[in-house]
Amino acid sequence: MLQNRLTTLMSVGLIGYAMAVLFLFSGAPDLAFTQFTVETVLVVIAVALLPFFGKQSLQTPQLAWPVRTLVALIAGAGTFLLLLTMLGAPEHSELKVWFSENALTQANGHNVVNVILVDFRALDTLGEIAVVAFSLLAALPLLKGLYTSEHRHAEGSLFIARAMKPLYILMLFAAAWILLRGHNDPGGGFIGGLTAATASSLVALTQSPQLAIKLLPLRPIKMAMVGLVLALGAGFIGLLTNTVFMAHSGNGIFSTVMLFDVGVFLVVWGSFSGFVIHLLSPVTPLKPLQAEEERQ
Amino acid sequence: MSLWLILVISVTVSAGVWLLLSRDLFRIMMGLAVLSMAVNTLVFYAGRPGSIIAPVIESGHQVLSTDAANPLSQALVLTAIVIGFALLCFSLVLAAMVSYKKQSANLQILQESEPQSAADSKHSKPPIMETE
Repeated sequence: MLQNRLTTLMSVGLIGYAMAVLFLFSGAPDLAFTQFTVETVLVVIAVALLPFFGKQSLQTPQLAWPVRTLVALIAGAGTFLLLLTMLGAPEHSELKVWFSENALTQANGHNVVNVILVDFRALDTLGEIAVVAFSLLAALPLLKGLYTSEHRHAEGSLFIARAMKPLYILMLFAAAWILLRGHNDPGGGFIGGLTAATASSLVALTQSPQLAIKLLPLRPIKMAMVGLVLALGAGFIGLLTNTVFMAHSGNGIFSTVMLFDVGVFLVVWGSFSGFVIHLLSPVTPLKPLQAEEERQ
Repeated sequence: MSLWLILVISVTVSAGVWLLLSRDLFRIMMGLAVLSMAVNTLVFYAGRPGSIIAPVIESGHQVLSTDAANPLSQALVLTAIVIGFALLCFSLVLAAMVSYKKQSANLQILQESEPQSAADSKHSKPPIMETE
């Protein structure tokens, strides 16, 4: 069952989409949009990496399947019991009430999820986007070591090739709109950035990764670092004007909140489009592996 | 509704663990993806969903209506999705690099090609592939 890696990947993608639908019907549009875009970019990245895993040997000695199944079932049953216990425990809604009451009065935002992310818990988000940016930074030397001789990009669909550029611009506009409306409606820097990364992946897949880089405002890793600096800068403005790091000031589009969210947007866009573009482009090879083996 | 949701999360955890116990490196990475999805849903579930109204304060109101969904668990899960994805990307690239260098994604072969310490060298098989 599911011997094929591509089938496994597609199934995982489907599980992700199913989770997104679940979020969508549980009153969490922000989560649903994030999950949809993340799943799309994940499938693109994993497919681009598939050739490097080599041929799958069907004689792979597996862990004895009864043991494997038993362990998996125990894990599932444990989760089931844990969740049942959680269901029985009383709900503590003090925090929910606090955030619900203070989101608009103290932080001037209607979308409570976004307000928590960029205002109340902004320091946490800053650390988190730093991890996202550094994951690309850490992967870059590894990506340089992966070498492919063949150009891998889809050819054939004239329609997609023609429609690519307008579609790219449209998607970037959508991403910017999602970013700007994020504070008061579902949206925000994370979702906007992921949408923009999807747009970049589209160009890299249908045309060429080089064109995708050319259409970016900066090189991916630079963009991620600029975003990080912007988010940090938003924090320092708060330190200078209100003597507290990350104390936000201003209103609407011209506020440190928006500056921070733009930073998040750039980090997410730069990092994930960086992964896709570097994976799809045959980077300047260090040396092909075959030649190395022949020498030995 | 909530019992079904619990069941779905548990089955997803089972599927993720089952994939994690595979010998194929790519499968293991997919298991990581499925397991992180399951845990995200678990955290989301801890916020007691049940409302289909997004936690957005309606214009004209000062506070969020009590019918709306819990915003806190959503904010936590949103960052968890993105950070989990970034780490998954890095792990995928790392795994691809390792299997490419060793020309195998089989965990057993990868384990055997590890340089061995003196203590356990007599118990395990000799390396079948020399490191560079």
